[in-house]
Amino acid sequence: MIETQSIEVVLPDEFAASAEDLEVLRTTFQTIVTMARECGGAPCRPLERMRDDGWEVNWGLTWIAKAKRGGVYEESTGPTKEEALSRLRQHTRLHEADGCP
Amino acid sequence: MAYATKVRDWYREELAGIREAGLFKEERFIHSPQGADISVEYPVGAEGRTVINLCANNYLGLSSHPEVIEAARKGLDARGYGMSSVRFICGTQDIHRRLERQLTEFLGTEDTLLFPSCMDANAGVFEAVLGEDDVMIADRLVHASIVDGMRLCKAMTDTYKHSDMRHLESKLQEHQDRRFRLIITDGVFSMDGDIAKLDEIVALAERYDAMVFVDDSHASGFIGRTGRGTHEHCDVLGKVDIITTTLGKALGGASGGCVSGRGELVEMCRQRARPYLFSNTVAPVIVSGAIKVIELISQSTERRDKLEENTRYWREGLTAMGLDLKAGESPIVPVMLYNAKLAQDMSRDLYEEGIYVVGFFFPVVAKGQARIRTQLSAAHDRSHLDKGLAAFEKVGAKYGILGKGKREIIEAFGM
Repeated sequence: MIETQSIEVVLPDEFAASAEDLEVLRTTFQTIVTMARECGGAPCRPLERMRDDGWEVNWGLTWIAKAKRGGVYEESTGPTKEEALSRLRQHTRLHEADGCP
Repeated sequence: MAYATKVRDWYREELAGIREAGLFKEERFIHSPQGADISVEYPVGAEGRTVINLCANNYLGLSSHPEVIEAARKGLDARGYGMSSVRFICGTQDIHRRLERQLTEFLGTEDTLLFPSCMDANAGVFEAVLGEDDVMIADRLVHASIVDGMRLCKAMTDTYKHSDMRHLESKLQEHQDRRFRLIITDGVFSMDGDIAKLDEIVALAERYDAMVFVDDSHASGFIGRTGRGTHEHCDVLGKVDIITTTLGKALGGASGGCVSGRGELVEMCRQRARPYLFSNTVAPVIVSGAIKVIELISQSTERRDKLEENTRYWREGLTAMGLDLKAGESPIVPVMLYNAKLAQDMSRDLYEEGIYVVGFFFPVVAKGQARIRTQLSAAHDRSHLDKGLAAFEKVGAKYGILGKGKREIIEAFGM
């Protein structure tokens, strides 16, 4: 069994990490691990299969923003957090009211 | 068994939550044809009673018109009940194309494609004509079916404040780098009954190289001097690139919808719109009835003129008794109450007075905007309207809201 590896980052006393800071840290390390283990060296099978099927596939890391209110769910992606949230905001704007038939 | 107890329980709890929130929709059974007077069984199991219908989209009173019924009956005999096919396999009859040509002429466009409903037209049109390099800029109060259609399209979504032309202009400026820009609006907005500023929208579209989309479901057949719709009302006939509309409201009220507009855009829908490609053709009986409807409203403006007069009389009557209305000129006349319970209580009391109307409140309309939406019809005679006005006056007096404005109603009932 592979021993679980972990990295501990000591934060300076004066540094108060926000939830957002911690999310960035978590995602950064997760990305490094993911790329190293999943598609780093070996071929990425879902990607190859799609290309075999004739799909032109591009992939990349991006920001994702999600919003849920009651039964309504929206999500948007963007190259920056601000853009993802801005796009999400426009989607939620269309739900100011359900509207009349 | 996949539908395990825990699954059933989850759905039951969800439904209970909808009920507790006061959002549970219950159907009322009608035992008569659609019209100004209808026989309603409400609550379920109760003795049916005849009430005046002030909540249908039967704007021109054609839902049960004898000539439309006769045409539908003849169509049923001549072309059968169903086609058991989508349009492009073996579901297109001569009458489908005939109706499309009639609608094209009536709406003043280049071509038209029928859909099973306008909901389907709106669900399919954006994906068919736009791609990821484009942007859709929609009024924030567009109909739910447009919202769904936009979600299915890969083009960027943006919005502008309701009928705010300066905001729309800023959005058009912002998106000049996009390949195509499509401005999206309702012609008549179903909540407030207000009419889009299509003349200004078209002017902005010309200035900023954008296309214009209008859902004219609450306008086709009666808005504009000859009932062509919002584009006629705003004097921009031929300048709207895509019009979607329904056969399920003024135009006979059965079902069916269409995309009408620039020839290439309509053809793209014929090739790519998934609700068109993957759902059944509009039934011959409905097509036959709709052909007669277009004939009737093309020959005479008598019905839309009567609707206009009914709307004026109704608005004046409600205003004179001191009810708070949303300003406008369409046959959608919202009586503003601001409080959800008041809207529910008043609609219930009006039903007891023989008037069938429905209260709308959040989330159907924005918070604090509860109202009773009344809708006029050419089928209404003066006696219907007078009885309706008397009932509103009696019930309005009971709740002490006559002569009261927004602030006073909110002070009395809360929001």
